[in-house]
Amino acid sequence: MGMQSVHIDPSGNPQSRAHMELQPLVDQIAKAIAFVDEAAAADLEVLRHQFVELRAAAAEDGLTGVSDSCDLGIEAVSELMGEPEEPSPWIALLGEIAGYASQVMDALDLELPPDSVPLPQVQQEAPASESEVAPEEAPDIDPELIEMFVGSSGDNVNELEECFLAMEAADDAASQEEHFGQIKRSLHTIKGECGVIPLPGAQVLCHHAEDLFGRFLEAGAPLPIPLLLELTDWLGAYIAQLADGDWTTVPENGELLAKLQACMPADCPDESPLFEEHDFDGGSNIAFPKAVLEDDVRSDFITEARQHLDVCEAAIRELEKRPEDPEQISVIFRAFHTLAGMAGYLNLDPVVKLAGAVETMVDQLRRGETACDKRRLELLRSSCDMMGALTGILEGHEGPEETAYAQLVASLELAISGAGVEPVAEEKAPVHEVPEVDTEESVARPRGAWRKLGEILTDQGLVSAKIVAVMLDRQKSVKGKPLGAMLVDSGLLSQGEIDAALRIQEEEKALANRHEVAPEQTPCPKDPEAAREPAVRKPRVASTIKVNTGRLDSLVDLVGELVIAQQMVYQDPVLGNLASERLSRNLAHVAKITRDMHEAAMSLRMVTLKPTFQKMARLVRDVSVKAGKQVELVLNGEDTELDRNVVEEISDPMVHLIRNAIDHGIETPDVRQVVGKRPTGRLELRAFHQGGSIVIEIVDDGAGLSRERILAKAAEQGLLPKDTDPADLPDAQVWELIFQPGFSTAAVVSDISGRGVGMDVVRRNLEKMRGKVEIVSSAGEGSVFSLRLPLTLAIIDGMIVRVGAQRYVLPTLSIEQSFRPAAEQLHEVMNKGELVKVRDMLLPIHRVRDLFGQDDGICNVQEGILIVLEDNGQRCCLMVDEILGQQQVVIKSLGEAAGLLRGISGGAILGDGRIALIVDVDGLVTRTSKAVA
Amino acid sequence: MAIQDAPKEGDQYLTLQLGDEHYGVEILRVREIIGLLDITRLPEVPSFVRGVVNLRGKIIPVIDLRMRLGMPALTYDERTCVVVLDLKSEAESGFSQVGCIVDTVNEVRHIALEAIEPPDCLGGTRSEDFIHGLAKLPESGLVVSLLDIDSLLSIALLGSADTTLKEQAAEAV
Repeated sequence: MGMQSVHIDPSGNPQSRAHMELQPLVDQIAKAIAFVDEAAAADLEVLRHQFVELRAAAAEDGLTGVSDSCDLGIEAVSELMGEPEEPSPWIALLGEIAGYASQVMDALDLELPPDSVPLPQVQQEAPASESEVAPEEAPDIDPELIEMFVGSSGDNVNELEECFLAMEAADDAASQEEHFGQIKRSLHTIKGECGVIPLPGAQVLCHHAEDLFGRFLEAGAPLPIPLLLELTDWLGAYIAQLADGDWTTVPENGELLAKLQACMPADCPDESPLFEEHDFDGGSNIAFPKAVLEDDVRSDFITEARQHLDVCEAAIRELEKRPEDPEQISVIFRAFHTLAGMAGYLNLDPVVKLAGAVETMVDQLRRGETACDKRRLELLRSSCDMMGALTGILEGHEGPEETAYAQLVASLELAISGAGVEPVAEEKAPVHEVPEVDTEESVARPRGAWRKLGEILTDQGLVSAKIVAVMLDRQKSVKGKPLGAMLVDSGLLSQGEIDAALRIQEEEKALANRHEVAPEQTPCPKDPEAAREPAVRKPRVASTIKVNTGRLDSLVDLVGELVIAQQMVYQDPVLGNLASERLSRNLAHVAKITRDMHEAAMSLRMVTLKPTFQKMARLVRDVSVKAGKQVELVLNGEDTELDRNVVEEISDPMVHLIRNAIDHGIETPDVRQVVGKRPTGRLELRAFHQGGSIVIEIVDDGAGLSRERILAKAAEQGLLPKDTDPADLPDAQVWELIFQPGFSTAAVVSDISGRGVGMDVVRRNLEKMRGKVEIVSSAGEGSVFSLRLPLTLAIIDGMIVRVGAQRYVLPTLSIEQSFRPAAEQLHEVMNKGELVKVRDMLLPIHRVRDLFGQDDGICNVQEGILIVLEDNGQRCCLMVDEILGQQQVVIKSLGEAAGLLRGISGGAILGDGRIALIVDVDGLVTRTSKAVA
Repeated sequence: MAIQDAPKEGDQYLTLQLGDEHYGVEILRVREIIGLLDITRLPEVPSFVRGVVNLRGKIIPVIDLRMRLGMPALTYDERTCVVVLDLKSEAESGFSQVGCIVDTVNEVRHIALEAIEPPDCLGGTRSEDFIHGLAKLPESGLVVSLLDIDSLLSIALLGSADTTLKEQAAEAV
């Protein structure tokens, strides 16, 4: 039905008459629709009749819009009478019609033309309340929301993946439970955020994942991790796409959706409905194991317990008068402490748990960490009662109700953790208008750990208690229809409001469940401290803020320039001549602040290796599965920090090396067993600082590099040095061969590795960052690939030297010693040039002026200064004119020219504004030692 | 600031001179024009790469355009300037700076698209890779060679061989 214009009877029939007649009819219809039970034929029939009536009246008054919509209404009713599978669109339509009619009435009231009200439209397809493939995103999405989503959800997705992987590997129930909680929270948060923006495509996936999750949790079945990893992959790809700026397309999710919906644990009942009404299990009581009940020791327990409880109750009465009386608090503490001990001895677990909780709470009071407020007093009293009831079991009475017990324990734990704040939920709360769980409120109600949906909605004032009651009544006759759905269908509330209320309920549930799921207290009469396991999660890392990296970089650059400018001022000879003590002091102060600022700026760029390592964890899993190998991954030093830029660059080389290690290094389980190794291979990623560099090692216990195969391949490709016998080549040089472009000994080129494009790229990437790759390998035992990188790319401590008019910077770390040679130390040897004797070593002398093509500078060795450089065991001796000093310099790239230079790794701007060239020691040492050999 | 590959509709160009020869560079690629600064030599680079200079805390390489184009070098005088240009690069911002030593800088002017002809007529000693068009200035009849900076000045692509274009051309012949 399209839009039609409504013609008002031009004869000027007073609208007021139409209005008066129609109004009651419209009201009637609206009410009927609100309360219609679409399965009850009688209701429908009445409705239909009402529509017919209204139609006639409207037609009479020339309100064709209204009468046409009545036609629609009648149609809808007929459809509903036919009991369609999806009644909701029709019900929604009815709601719209009612709304439309009311609006027309309002328009008439205000003397506006009725055709200003838009007509209701028939929905052609079912609304996506339960999940079909999502429609495209609404065009007017707020870019800021997307940005926040991309930022925070990226982290959430990573955490999810981490949890999934950890669950796969974990065996024990305790960590499983912890992961469950984390997974649930993350999924829920992501789903919530998707809902806000909105991103229905992702939201619906998350929703089904949550459902699936709930199913498996209930059934106690292990999660289908590969499917869940598919989900995180999809989310990751989607987030990347959003980050790229593409908001309109949603990646294909139909298949994944279907799988999520269909995946069942073997013994699980059917999918739970969209909205659940949760309730405590009523009815069962606490009981003790039979063995205890027959123990003679129990009579002792009973007597003593009663005594302690009497004492406690007296103390509580005193506390009510004087809340901070430490003596009474101690009394209570000692009492429960003893009770816990005794109960532990008898293995009366419920008693132990309760007593332990009370003990903790009272301990907090004792140490002044919390105040003895009304709530706590009430809890104490309840605890005494409960304890009495528990003791009663031993006396043969029926124990307290399980629900009451659980509630008390939960409340105690809430009190212990202090106002029950969920740190995770707070941090990850998406931005939306619905108020967060009022945690104070939820704590102030120790009974009933979470509210029912109806309660929440009533509390929010969205719906009256009466309507909720009516709905709940109807719910009884319509089996299984959830309250929320009913409210939405009746048009009383929007889906969004229901969702928000359900979110609140979820959070309340999570708060309560978290405490219930806390591990059992181990009975231990002597040391209750150890028995008490904290129910609070590990505290999160310090709060962070997201910053645009461009801004960060420009800040760091500016600070770098400040350092230089400050040095230029500081070293200005004019200032030096002023000889003012005050001035010197101030300059020194400025220098110090600048240095500190520089350090702080540098540290802004430092990030840990943790995310990189985690990425590798996923990679290891995937590659090992693909390659049919079993690999145990061990991570060490993931908290090591590096410059952000370095971390980015190091990821690809690591990926490549790990793939190699798993693909070529670690053998298949069969082969491993044949050679006497464990079938599961071990891959270790280690990161640590070493002398101004950071080292990342990839260690595997596989087959190691095969010398023969490498030599054979090298010979094949003509890569062997001509005049040396391969057998003479030391291992180190053989391993070097694999860095040649195009080299690969893989017999089979898998899609993982083996194409021979890897190792040379790895080395190049490393060298771009002034880093190195080193290999140590032993046949049959395994290999160690070491990546060595400078800690920060930006600053170096160096010795400034002069050769002719040119200045150079030699990294201090590489300098072994410098000296002016005495004649006795110098030797000349045929074919090898000039040598100098240094500490029992004879080193050839290289003049810097020759190395770098200068035509000025000192020629006579005895007039110059010799500097011995050392790099990884190799040494070389350089000759310079003069040493100018030692200082920290900021490494500046030489721009486009950098690629051309051998032996120079960068430039530095000195205090007088002139440029010094930073010597690349490694390149130089290698070059010179080769020349000698 | 939009950087275009080829001029569209007509663009603004900075015209400069090497001896009697006139050249043009897209104004959007010109970062600044400065006088000669102290040049720090670099080892083992092609001779037309004169070295690096300190431009307010940033180190940028400078190239002698005469030598790059195979013309005889001149001693630098007070009119010699350095035109700092933005070159496309793999740097994070997408550009890196290179200084270009020229004899003189003339003016910034608009050159209409219609006035630009493709450089096929050149052939001979000049490689066509770095001149993307020849413009005839209507009022003076001067022909301005429009330079494609990226291919002309991208030092990294040149390797460490010390070649000038004249030599390249000589080899080709």
